[in-house]
Amino acid sequence: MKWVWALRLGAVLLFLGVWEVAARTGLVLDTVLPPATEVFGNIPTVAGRPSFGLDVYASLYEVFVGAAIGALIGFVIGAVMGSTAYLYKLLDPLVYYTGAVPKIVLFPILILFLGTGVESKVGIAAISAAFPIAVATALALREVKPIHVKAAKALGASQTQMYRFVYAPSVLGPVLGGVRLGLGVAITASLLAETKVANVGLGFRSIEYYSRLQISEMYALLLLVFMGAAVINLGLSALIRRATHYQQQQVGATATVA
Amino acid sequence: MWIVRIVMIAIFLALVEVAVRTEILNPFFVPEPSSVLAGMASSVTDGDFLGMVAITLGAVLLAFAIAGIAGVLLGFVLWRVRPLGDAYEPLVAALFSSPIVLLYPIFLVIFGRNSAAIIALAALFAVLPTILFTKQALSAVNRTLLNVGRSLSMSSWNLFRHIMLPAAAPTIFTGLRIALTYVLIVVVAMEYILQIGGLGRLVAESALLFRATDLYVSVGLIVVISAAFIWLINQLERLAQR
Repeated sequence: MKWVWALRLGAVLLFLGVWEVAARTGLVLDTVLPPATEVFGNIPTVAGRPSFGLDVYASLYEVFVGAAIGALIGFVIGAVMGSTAYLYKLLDPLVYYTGAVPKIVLFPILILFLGTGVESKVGIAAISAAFPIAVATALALREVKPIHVKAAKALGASQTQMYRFVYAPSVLGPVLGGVRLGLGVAITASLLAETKVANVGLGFRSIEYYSRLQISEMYALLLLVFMGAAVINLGLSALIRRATHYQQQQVGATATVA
Repeated sequence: MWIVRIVMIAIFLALVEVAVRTEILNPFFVPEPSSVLAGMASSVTDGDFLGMVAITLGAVLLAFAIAGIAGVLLGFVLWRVRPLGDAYEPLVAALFSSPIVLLYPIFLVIFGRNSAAIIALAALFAVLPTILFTKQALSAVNRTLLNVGRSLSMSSWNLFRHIMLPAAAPTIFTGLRIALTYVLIVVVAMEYILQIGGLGRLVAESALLFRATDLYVSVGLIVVISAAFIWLINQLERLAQR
C-alpha cells in the first residue's frame, strides 16, 4: 500500500510544483494565480487579522444554528413521510423534485423576512439542510426491518420500548448520515449566501478580498475554509462511526451543493 | 397519486391566498399566490423569458457535456489502471463532499465575470460523481460474466463492448443523471450570485428592485423548470436503461 501514498503525495507535489512554476515564471499572471508559496505564506496573515475571528464565529454560527433548525424540520417532515407506506409514496416525489431546486434562489425571499444579517443565512442553511435530513429520516423509517418489529412485539415490547430499542437504533445510522449531508449543504449554502449579501463571515470576506484584488489573500482564505469544512466533515464521520458501531454502515460518496 | 399531490399544493396555495388577503401574512413580503401564478403563466409565453431559459439550458448542457465526457474517460482510466484507482478514487470522493461551489471567486479571477466561469465551475463539480460512478460501475461488473466471455475466447475489445459496457451502463447513467442535476443547481445558483446569464439573473434582478411579486414569479418558475428538467432526465435515464 506504500505506492498508493506515493502516488497521492506525488500528485500533490506535482500540483503544487506546477502551480509555483507557472506563477513564478509569469506563465500565468500573478493577478490570476499567485505562487503557491505566497498563498501559503499569506495564511497566517489572513488568520491573524482581527476580523478573522469574527468572520469564523459568524459563519460557524450560521452553519450550526441553521443545520440544527434544518435538522428539526427535517426530522419532523421525515417522520411524517416515513410513518406509513402511503404517505411515503405520496410525499417522496414532492420532496425529491423540490430538493433538486437550487435553494439559494430562496435567499432574496428570506432577506425580505429576516433582513440582511446573519438570520437570513441561518434561514438558507436551515432550508438547505432540511431536505437531505428529511429524505434520510423517511427512508430509514421505511427500511426498519419488519422482522425486528415483529420480534419485539412478540416479546411484548411496549410502544416506548419499541421506539427506544427497535426504531431508534435502526434509524440512527442513516439519519446521522443525513445530518452529515445536511451540515455539508448548510456550509455551502450559508457561505454562498454570504458572498451575495452580508457584512461579516468567511464567504463575505473571500468576495471582499476578490473585489479589492487581494487575490493571494483570497486564495489563502479559501484554503482555510476548505480545511475547516474537511475537519467538520471528518469529525462528524468519526462521531457517526462511534455512535453506530453496531451497524455495518457504508458511507458512500456524498455531495454538498447549495 | 398526482391528483392528491396537486390537491395538496392547491389547498396550501389557497390557504396562503386567504392569509395574504386578510393580511395575516404581510402582503409586502408575500404576494397573493393567484397573482404569482398569473405572472408565471404570462412569463412562459414571453419571448424574453424563453431567451433566459435558453441561456441557462445552454450553459447547463455545455457544462454537462464537458463533465460527462471527461468524467467517463477519467473513471475508465481509474478502473483500467488499478494503482491510479486505488490512489485517487478516495481523493475524488473527498473532493465531491467538499464545498467546491465556494471556490467560485477563483473561477472569476481565472475566467472573468462571465458564463465561462459558471460553466467551468459546474463542470468541475459534476465531473466528480461521473468519475466515481463510472469507476464503480466498471469495477462492479460480475466476474462470472467476464469468465463466460473469456471461455468463449472473445477478444478484449469484444469483452469490453459486449459485456463490460452493457453491464456497467445503468450505473454510469445514474452517475450522469446526478451530474446533470448538479450542473443545473450550480448554474442557476451562480447565475443568481453573479447576476449574469439566464434564470438566476432574473431572481437577482427582481430582488434588487424589491418587487415581491416578480421575485416570487421568478423563484416559482425556477422551481417548476427545475422539477420539469429533473423529471425529463429521469425519463431519459429509464429509456436508456431499458
